[in-house]
Order: sequence, then structure tokens, then C-alpha cells
Amino acid sequence: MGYATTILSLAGLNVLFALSVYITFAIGQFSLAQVGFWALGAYGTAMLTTLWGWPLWPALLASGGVCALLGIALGYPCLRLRGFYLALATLGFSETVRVLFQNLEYQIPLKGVPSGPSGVLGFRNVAVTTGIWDIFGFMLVLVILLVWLNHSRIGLAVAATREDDVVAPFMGINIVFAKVAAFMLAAMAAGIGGGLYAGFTSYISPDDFGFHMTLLGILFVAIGGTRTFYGPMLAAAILTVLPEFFRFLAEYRLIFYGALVVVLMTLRPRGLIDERVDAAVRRWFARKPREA
Amino acid sequence: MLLEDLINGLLFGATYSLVAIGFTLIFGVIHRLNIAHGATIMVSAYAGAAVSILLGGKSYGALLAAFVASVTTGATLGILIERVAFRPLKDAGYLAPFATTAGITIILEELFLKLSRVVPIFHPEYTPFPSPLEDLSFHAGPIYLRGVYVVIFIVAIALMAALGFWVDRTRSGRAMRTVEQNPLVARLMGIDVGRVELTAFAVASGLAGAAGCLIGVSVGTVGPFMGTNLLMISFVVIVLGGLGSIRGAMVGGLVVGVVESMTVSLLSARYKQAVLFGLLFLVLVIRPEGLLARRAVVRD
Amino acid sequence: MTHPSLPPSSNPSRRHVLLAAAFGVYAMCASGAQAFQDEGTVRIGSVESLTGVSSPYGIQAINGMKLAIDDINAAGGVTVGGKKVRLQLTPGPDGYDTGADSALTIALLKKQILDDKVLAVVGPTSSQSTEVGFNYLNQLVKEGNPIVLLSPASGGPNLGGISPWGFRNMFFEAQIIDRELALVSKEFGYKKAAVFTVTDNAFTASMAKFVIRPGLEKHGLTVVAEGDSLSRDTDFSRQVQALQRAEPDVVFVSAPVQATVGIMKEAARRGFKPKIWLGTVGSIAPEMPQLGGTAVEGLVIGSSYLPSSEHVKGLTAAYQKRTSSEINLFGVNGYEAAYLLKAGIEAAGIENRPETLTEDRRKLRDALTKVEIKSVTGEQIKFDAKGDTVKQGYLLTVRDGQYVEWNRKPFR
Repeated sequence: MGYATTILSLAGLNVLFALSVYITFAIGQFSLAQVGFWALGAYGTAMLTTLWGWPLWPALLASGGVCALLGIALGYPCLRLRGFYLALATLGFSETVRVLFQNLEYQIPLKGVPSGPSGVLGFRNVAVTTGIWDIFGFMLVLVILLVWLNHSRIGLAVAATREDDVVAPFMGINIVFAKVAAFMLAAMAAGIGGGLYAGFTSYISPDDFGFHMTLLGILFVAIGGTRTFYGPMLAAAILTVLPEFFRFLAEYRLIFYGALVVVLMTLRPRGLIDERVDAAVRRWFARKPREA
Repeated sequence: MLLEDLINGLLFGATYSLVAIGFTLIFGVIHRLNIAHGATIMVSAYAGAAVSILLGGKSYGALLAAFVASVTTGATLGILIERVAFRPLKDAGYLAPFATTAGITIILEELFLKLSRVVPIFHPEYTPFPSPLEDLSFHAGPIYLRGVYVVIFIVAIALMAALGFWVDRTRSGRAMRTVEQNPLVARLMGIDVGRVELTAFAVASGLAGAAGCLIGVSVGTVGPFMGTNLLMISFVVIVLGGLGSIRGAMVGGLVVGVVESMTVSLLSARYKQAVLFGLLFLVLVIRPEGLLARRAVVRD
Repeated sequence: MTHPSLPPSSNPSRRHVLLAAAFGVYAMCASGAQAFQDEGTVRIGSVESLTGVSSPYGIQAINGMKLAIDDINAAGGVTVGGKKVRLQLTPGPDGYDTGADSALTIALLKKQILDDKVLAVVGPTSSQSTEVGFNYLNQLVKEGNPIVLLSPASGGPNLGGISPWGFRNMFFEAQIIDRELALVSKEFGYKKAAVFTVTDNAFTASMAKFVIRPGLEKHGLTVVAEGDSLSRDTDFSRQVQALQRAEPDVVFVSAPVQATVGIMKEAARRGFKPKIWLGTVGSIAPEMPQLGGTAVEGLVIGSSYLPSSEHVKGLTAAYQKRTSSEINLFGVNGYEAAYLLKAGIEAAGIENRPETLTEDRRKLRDALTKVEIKSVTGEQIKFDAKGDTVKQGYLLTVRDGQYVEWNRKPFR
């Protein structure tokens, strides 16, 4: 696996993260809980594959499933919260998860060496099981799912709930179901993404899942636009890959990154994919003869 | 000694209040969070430290000069940030300013990392902020109090009162309140909304400057990442107190200070975050709009 | 209301993305298209944190390394196959920046191995990135592409031994802490100790857990009080209060610079005067005495070199001249790392041809395990079985705002 493949894999993981963040924004919920689910998925999958020898995808699905359930459990109490209050409550969830892993010590001897999560010191020698096709394969599945949902009645319900969740129930939309389902799907996507991340880097620690990751998620949806799923995907890809081409800036690389973010946001205030671009894309697809 | 924990918690909490007041003021007026508030604190702190170092750092005169430097730097930076990160994004929804202010924060932090290596009076990781206030302490009975925390407490209360006076009694303040409640109506009433917003930014960032100077003095050092550390707690404070409520920010800061102090004393510092967020969840479940919010529904 | 005016073209973002992609393809090709090894060089790589929180350490390390490379080349270079060959940092001028993102370490390692085709890599800086890097070395072995990764900066006590390809020439304090604890318990007769830890920092937390506490126990010192705080904390009143009440003889501080200065200052304010303060390398920074003033006088810390010694005077002056700042432990280690590699290269018998690169890397690894050099600090150093250098070190203390060698006498 060359350098380009590695960068593509990292970009792919960031894109998955962006998608999981997008899902709750799509329904109008400002949720920052995905970092916490990413962490849970990472540790869960790492423990299953490394400590108990599970193969990758069963481990991912198991962790993802647990995250989905937790997503539902989190979604319900959060129904009452809106806007920045919701953001902060979900941020609190992610931070609590991080503190949990900072204090989690669970080691079992593997070939004589104690292995497992060790609090602040992290979880080392995680079995490297993630290939680039696992990442992009899951991304494809997620994209297909989102496109399908978009075109179904659920998509209309989601759009309606996002636009105005006070009026939506009068149109017969069960917004409780919609919001909790969004939380669940986002949590599961993040859980599986986190598991893929752990299987890729071979070492995870609580610091990986801190506030900077939350900020990154916000950047992806802000720059990409919350209107479409491919906006945040594009933003994630650009923000991961573009700085690589500016490595010659060495010490100034991060300043460049900050400037890039400001410029992108100022040039496209409603996101890279805003209403106009989205409408143009839809029109382009509509030109094709519809499948029966 | 629980009493001392409580009192020290209150006094230290005023630090958080000072930071949060400016943060929530901006939110109140434009309904957006200024993530660069932390970076503003940091830059102002550096300005104050520089002035203090250059003036010898031993006299209260130097401290006063440093304070003035910090406040002016903060206000100026605030105006700059408003121009660059908020004004161009008027129609952009609530997420866009997150990105631009986060970008600015990254730029400023890296810039100061670099500056602190290059400028002779600065040091690579932490630069000292000398002052006569840092070691001032006294005993109120059996309780030990740090002078600088008392000063911060008094300054925070004074600023809160001054803000209150400004908002309630002056024309510009009332204009700001009108903009807060309904920008469209304000405009129809002839209020220059742009100028009100700029003023709010300048004042709030000036407050950040004051916070930067006082925090720098209390810790004794300034560093490129000091702002970000404070910002996270500020989120909790302003949500606890109710977004946009200045009194809420004041009370919220004190509450957080006490909670932290008690947690460290009774449990251990490593549970501070967990306890704080637990408290936050509790408050949001009972009162989703925060303790002292003025409105029941938050427009976003 | 003002709208930012959109450019007239129909799909501006698509154009920009295409442009970026084209540039990207060009950039990626360009780096691989250079001729492999210039006739007269051996390529060494570097992955340090040049931006972000760890950058003060990473920048010291890379500057030290660059100074060493210049010195080595000025003396003719390294001897390969009987000829003198230049060392070249690839890519210049500063290697790669991993920033604060530990996952990038993997990508950059790959790039150094496959695109830059270096013989060995120096770095990473932070304990986090080093863990990721060393763990990944095992994966690289499976892929058939391993490389020596030599970290001059990460000091976590249990990072050695993760991979036979991972080396560290950082200063490891277990030995010197053992010596100082033996001293205070037997010669000074101290009995009671307190430990203050910053718990969310991997280095200081693991030092406390794996070195300090076992050390205290081994030497019969009872831990009568404990304090902890988070990295971002600036107020230590509660912790000092608790420590003060227990009246320990020894207070061992396992914390980064700001917390160390903070707790000692708070102690000074409250009149808490234990018989001795001990610290770790996490607290050592050239400006620490200045930041702490009188409050940090008397703090005892182990270091791999004596700042005032003759051996490092030349290096200190050269570093000051080149970078306008004062060298610290990390800069010295960076300098040392280049010389360790030089010794390894010369002992390895590499052929330094494109076809033999994988084999050369393996030879270098094997040679490094046996290498022994006299470091710029004056000490003979070599790697132990886990790939960590064993250094005797010096006990330093802060006196009159300077680091001086400790005279091993009690302060009070």
C-alpha cells in the first residue's frame, strides 16, 4: 500500500466521519455526539478483533449495533433540546465517552503480553484489519442508503422536519421517529467508521477523540453544506488531501490550513454545495431518462 | 475546610464568568458563537505580558498599562474578527461562523507558536506575565485567599454591572437590546444594526482582553493554547446560564467554579469533566434553555 | 443585506476541484520522478511535529538534527563502501510535519519509505505519534517494507520494545530516579512522600505509574498524599492544600512545565515547604527557572546532559547562532540521533544502491542494535534490548535561576 493509498484511506475515513455528522444535521439536529460513537466503535471493534479474534466485519457490525442502540438512547432525551443547547449536550456526551476511555483499564494477556485499553496510555497493537476497500465499500453502502432514503417518502419527511419541525407533525410526519432514527443511523455510521479507523492505525488512545475531532466534524458540514450528503464528503476530501500538496510549506502548513478554511467558507458561505449547486445537480440527473 | 473550597471556587469561578460574559454577549446580539473568543483572550494576554515585561513587571503602574494594552488589543482584534469572520457570512446559516472562527483560531495559535520562538522577550512554550498581583494573598480568618482571584471577582461583578447599566440605561445599549430581540424591527426603527453588532464585538472582545490580562496575571504565564482550554468551559458556562444572558454567564461561571473546586477536593481532578457534564445534562433536562435564559425558545 | 457575489462561470467549484486535482497529480508525480540516489548521498528522513502543541519539541529535534548533518558533512560525511558520502535530509529543508495528527505519521512513514526512498527515519515527536509509528512498524514488517524509526523526543517508559525497528535515543529516567530516591531515602533519611500527577498526559501519567510509584515503594518511602490535575488546569490550591496537610518530606511532581511551575508557585504562596521537590524530564525547559522564579529553586530533575558542561558548549553556541534560541534536551537528542545513524550506517556495510535499499535498511537496523558512540554530551551511549538508549544522566537542580549540577545535599 503506497503513500497515495494511505492518504486516500485517511481521506475515506474522514469522509465517513463527515457522513455520520451530516445525518443528524440533515434532519436539523445540531448533534456533536458522533465523536463519542466513533470512539466507542473504535474501542469496541479493537477489543473484539484484537482480544477475542473476531474477524473485521462481524466486529464492526457488533460495535455499530451497540452504537445504534446507544444512539436511540441518546436521541430520546435530546428531543427537547434545540440548537446550541443540543450541540452542547451532545458534546458533553462525546467528552464523557472520552473521559471514560481515559479511565478504562482492561487488559488480558495475549501471547504473554498484556493487551487491551489502558486508560490514558491507549490501546496498542490493535489488529490491522482495515483495507482501503473496506472503507470505500462501506462508504458506497452508506451513500446508496442515503440516496435511496432521499428519494423515498422518508427523504421528504426528513426535509420537512428540517425546514420546520413545528409544522411537520401537522402534515402527518412522526418527527419523533424521524429524529431518533437519524440519531440511530448517525451513531451506527460513526461506530463502524471508528472501528475501521482503529483497524487502520493499529493504535488508538482517548486523545484521538477529543475536541479537535468535534471541530473537524463541524468544519466538514459547514464547508460542505448541510443540504446534501455529498457536500460534507467533498469538504472532508478536500481538507484531508489538499494540505498534503502544500507540504512544502512545512512550519506554515497549519496556518495555510486555517486560511484555507476561512477562504473556503467566505467564498461559499452556504457551503460548497448550496441550494443553487444542489438544484443544478438535481436538474442534471433529471435530464436522464428515468429508470422504470 | 469545605468553606474555603466553596469560597475559592466562587472566586476562581469568576475567571470563567469573565470569559463567558463576553462570549455570551456576542451570542446575544448576533446569535452566533465566536469560537475565536479564546484566541482573542490569548492574543490580548500576550500583549499584556509584553507590556508588563517591557515595563519591568513590578509596579501596579505596569500592570495597569498591561491591562489597558490587553483590553485595546482585544477590542481591536474583535473588530477585525467581526469584519473577516462574521460580516461576510450574514446569510450563511449558523454553522458558517464556526468554520471561519475556527480557522482564525488555528491561524492565531500557530502564529503565536512561531512568534514565541522568534520574539526575544517571549519563550517557546510559555512566556511569563510578571506582576505584583500574582503572589498577593491574605487570610480572612482561617481561610486563605489569593488576591488576584478577589480582584478578578470584583472586576467581573463590576463589568457585569457596567454592562447592565449600558444595556438598560443608554441609547446604544437599548439599541443593542432591540437588535437582540428582533433585528428586522430594529432596522425598521432606524437602528444601524451593523454598527450595533460591531460595538457588541468590540465590547465583548475588550472584555476578553480584560480576561486575558487577569488570567495571565493569575497563572503567571501565557501560552498559545491558553484560550482554547478556557473556551470549552465557557461553552458549558453559557449554556448553563442561558445563551445570551449576561447574568446567566456570571452565575454560571461561579457555579462551575464551585463544582470544580468541590470535585477536586472531594473526589479527584480527573472527574471534573464528567461531573461538570453530568450537571449540564441535569440542567438541560429540567430546563432546556438554561438557568437564567430570558426567552423560552432560542431562535437559531 | 449583502450577498457575496458569485463568480459568473457556471460551475466554479467544479473548476477549482479539477485544478486542485491536476496540481495534485503533478505534485505526486514530481516527487517520485527525481533520480534515485544522487551519487554522493545517503538519504535520511524526518517526521516531527513542526506545528501544533508538540512543535516546541519537534522543532528543537529537527534543528539539532540538521546541525549534526551539517557537521557530519563538513567533516566529509559518512563512509560507505570505502568512500565518503554526504548525508541528506529528505525532503529538505525540514522533513515532514506530522502536526498533532498521529494518524498522519503512518501516511508520512509510507511516503518516506516508498516515495522518498530514505534509509532511515528520525522521529516522531510526541509519545502519541511514536506509539502509532512503532505499532505500525509491525504492520510494515508484514508488508515487507520496514524501516528504522528513531525517535529523539518521546520518553514514555514503556514504548520501547513495541517493534524491533523502533529506536529511541531519548533520556530515560528510571535509572536516575532510582538513584535519587536511593539518595533521599538512605542518605537523607526521608520517609514520607507525595506524588502529584497530571493524569491526562500520557508521558507524565505513565511515569507516575511505572517509574515513580514503584521507585518510591522500592526505597521504602510511604506515599502519604496524592494530587492530580488535568493538563489544562491552572489552579492548584486544592491539591497543595491536601499535600500540605500530609506534611511529606518528598514531593514528586510528574507534570509538564506549566503545571510544575503552577504547583510550586502555589506551594510557595501557601508556605508549603517540603524537604525536597523532585521532577521529571517533562518539567525541564530552558525557561522553566524564569517562569517559576524563586518558587522553583531547589527542584531536582534528571537530565541526560549538563547544560554548563564543556562538551555541549560548542553545540549550544552553534544552535543559538543558527536559530536564535536556546537549545534544550530535545535539540541535543536530535543532534545525537544523526550521529547514532552515522555510526550505524558505517557499521552496516550498506551498498547504497536503489536495488539494495530494502536490504540496506535491514542491515542498518541490525547494525544499530550493536552501535556504541560517544555522544556530544560526553557520555558513551548505545541501545538496549528494547531499542532505548541507556544514559546515566546528571542530577540537576535550579539554583539562582539556572540549571546546575546538584550537589546532592539537602536544601533544608
